[in-house]
Amino acid sequence: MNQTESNIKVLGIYRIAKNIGSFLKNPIVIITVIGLIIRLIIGIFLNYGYDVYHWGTVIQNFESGNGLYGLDGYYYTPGWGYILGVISSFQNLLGVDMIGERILEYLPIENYTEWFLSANVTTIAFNITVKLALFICDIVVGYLIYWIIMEMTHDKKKGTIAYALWFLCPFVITVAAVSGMFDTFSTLMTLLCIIFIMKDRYFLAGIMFCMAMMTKFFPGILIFVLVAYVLLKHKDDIREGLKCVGYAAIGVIITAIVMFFPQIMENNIEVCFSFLTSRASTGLGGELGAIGGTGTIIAYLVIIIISIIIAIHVYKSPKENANKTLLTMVMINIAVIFLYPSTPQYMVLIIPFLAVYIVMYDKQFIRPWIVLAIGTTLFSLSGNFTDLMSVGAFTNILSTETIMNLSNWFQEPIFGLSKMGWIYYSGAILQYAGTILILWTYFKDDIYKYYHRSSKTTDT
Amino acid sequence: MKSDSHIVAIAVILIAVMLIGEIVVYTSGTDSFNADATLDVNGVEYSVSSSGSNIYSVLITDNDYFQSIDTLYIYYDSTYESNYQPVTVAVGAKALTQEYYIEQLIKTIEYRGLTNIITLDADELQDLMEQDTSSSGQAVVVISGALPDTVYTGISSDYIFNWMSNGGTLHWLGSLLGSCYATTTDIVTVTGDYQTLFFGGYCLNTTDTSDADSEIDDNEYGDLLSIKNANVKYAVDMTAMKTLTNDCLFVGFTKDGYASIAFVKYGNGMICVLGGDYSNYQLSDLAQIITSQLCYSSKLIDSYNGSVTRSTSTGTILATVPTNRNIVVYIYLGGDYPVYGEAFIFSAV
Repeated sequence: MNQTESNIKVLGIYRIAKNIGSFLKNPIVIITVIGLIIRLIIGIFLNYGYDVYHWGTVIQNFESGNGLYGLDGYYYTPGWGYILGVISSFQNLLGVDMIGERILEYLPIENYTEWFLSANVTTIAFNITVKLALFICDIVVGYLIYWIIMEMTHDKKKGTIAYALWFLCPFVITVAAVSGMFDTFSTLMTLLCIIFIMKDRYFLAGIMFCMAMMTKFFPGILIFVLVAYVLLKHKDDIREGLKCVGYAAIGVIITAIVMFFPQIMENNIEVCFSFLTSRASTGLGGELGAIGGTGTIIAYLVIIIISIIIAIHVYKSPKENANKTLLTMVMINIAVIFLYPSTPQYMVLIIPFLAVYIVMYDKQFIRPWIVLAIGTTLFSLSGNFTDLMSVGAFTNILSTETIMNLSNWFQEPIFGLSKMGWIYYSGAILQYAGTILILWTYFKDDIYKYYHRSSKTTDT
Repeated sequence: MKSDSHIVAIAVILIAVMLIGEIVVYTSGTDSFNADATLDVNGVEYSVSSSGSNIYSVLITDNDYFQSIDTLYIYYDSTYESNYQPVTVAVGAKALTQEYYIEQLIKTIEYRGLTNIITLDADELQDLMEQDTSSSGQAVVVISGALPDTVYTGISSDYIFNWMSNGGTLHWLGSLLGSCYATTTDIVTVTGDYQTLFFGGYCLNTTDTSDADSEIDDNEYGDLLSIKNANVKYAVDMTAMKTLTNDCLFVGFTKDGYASIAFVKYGNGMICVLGGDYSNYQLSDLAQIITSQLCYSSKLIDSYNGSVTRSTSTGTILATVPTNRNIVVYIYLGGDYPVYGEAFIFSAV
């Protein structure tokens, strides 16, 4: 090798090192690394067993040849079940041979009234392999948020801030890393649907919309806003608009047929929707269950009516601001959906739109983000020391006895409510306040204007 | 306009994940597993295969001369009243009705290796039990909380007793055994001494005690068979039972002396009582004790817990195995989340 070749080689290595250096200094990479480290540490040590042990049951059921719904354990539309199918293959590949164990020392927690807790404890290997899929999804959702901002503003700083508002949001972290809940997947599909609609890829948008709905039902309510947006974009040629909606509908129908195919063949498609009908009740039969079910239906009818009103507003908006209107009204519509009190994981769906709105349109919306970040995180961590049960059962870091003592202590009442209850209800109230605050921050000027106009009219 | 090809790529990957997942979910099944066992005087040679990654357990049980179940009957008659009590289930879950319980039980037992399952109504149950021939190898599961009046009315000449004396096994759960019977219009309370009719004395839990807090330490079956239901409502009192007969076995969890699962000899047959209200844990336990062929005379000879990943695991459990008795080698995969089971029955020569 002569001197020139040697210099070129050194220069090449220098350039690679420089590129790696600048890549590692990229704020997005730093945020991703920090967020992943937090997720991994929390995900290994904390686990809300009641949900995650159900994922184990779902895998057990289909591995035994009973599909998703043949045996009791899976209560949702099939999306997450299919993702669990891929996760189980991954676990089999890695040699994760044990899902979990029923731990004798933890049996008393099943007698804590009003809480969904189980002595069935999943192994740390099982937990982390399920959660890894959620972490990857969190990163992709963050990237899509960044992409939307870059697409609309070409401002890297804004994109990075929005990415951080999602990826470092405490309850986005806890929902994936502690609860092991899959709402991040339906959020990803919802975002893809919206991007495809904005990019006039209606067939793909339909596929993503259907997949989002089949994973968690809530994005389904956004259908009115999405259709209104497509028609708004083609206001000059309504036939073209309807044609675009038709392409999307074909995507939805094909996806639904493919995803429901096993249930269509077995003629029992209703099993996929039990989650919807019993969301308000605790699965009780009889009158209480019926009241809960009726209450849910009425609440959702009201939500659907409001969603249609929002959609009409979208259609009447100026065409030149269509994208802004879409992103804003999707956020507002999701907030309206969650006026019907939700569990912490559902709130994940609103964060990407809130993050986009904060960085692009109105920084005031950081307040509801903060309230949600505190409230929903508290809410999702109300299992407190019971979240350490996997660590107690499968490591020597903490004993099962210590965990039970601490958990029992959290059950002792203060002012008539257990400590666990205080965390749970204060978190739930704050979460609800955060939802209200989104709507209040958006509508307050209109409300003031309306109030003052009314006052003036009265004075006159 | 920025290219969105990589966004399309993300969507394509997601679609692929869904499709692959759907294929995995609906092509998985017991074909992915296999087990075999052979027996000689030196012990048991076994093999366990899995296309995935699973823990497994091998249990060698000496059942003395008690014949294994070859036909399982489940009583269900919609024209009869039932004493089935509705229970609270998880949010989103389908209500655990009697019909759903039976549907789930059949599926759960089938994937654990016993497929000869027949559902009987009250008249068919009478037809089965009135025959005065050996009923060894027959087992009846009653989920309804009340036997029909075609086989039980609270007197010792009822067909149920004759059938059990001839070798039949009754699996009971959901209420106090014998305390009532069902007609087409009513649940009739038995006023006589129903406990003595079935057990020869008083032994059932009529107190409020329900939630068990410890494991039964007479044997290791509870742990080895991944028994889950820790409820002793309506269950059998171990101490009281042992004073009545030595031909009994208790498995699972206990509180105040009551056993979550009890096997008690009756004539040439057996009564098995599972404690607690109806639940999926109880259902899983019922399937496990039926498919593992556990009985009042079961004695664990030896056991082995292992793991198999995308291969076949073989081994030999060295143990002194009597060849003149009924020996059962039960192999199941999945531990507390069973996905496959099979019992290998070696009958007495």
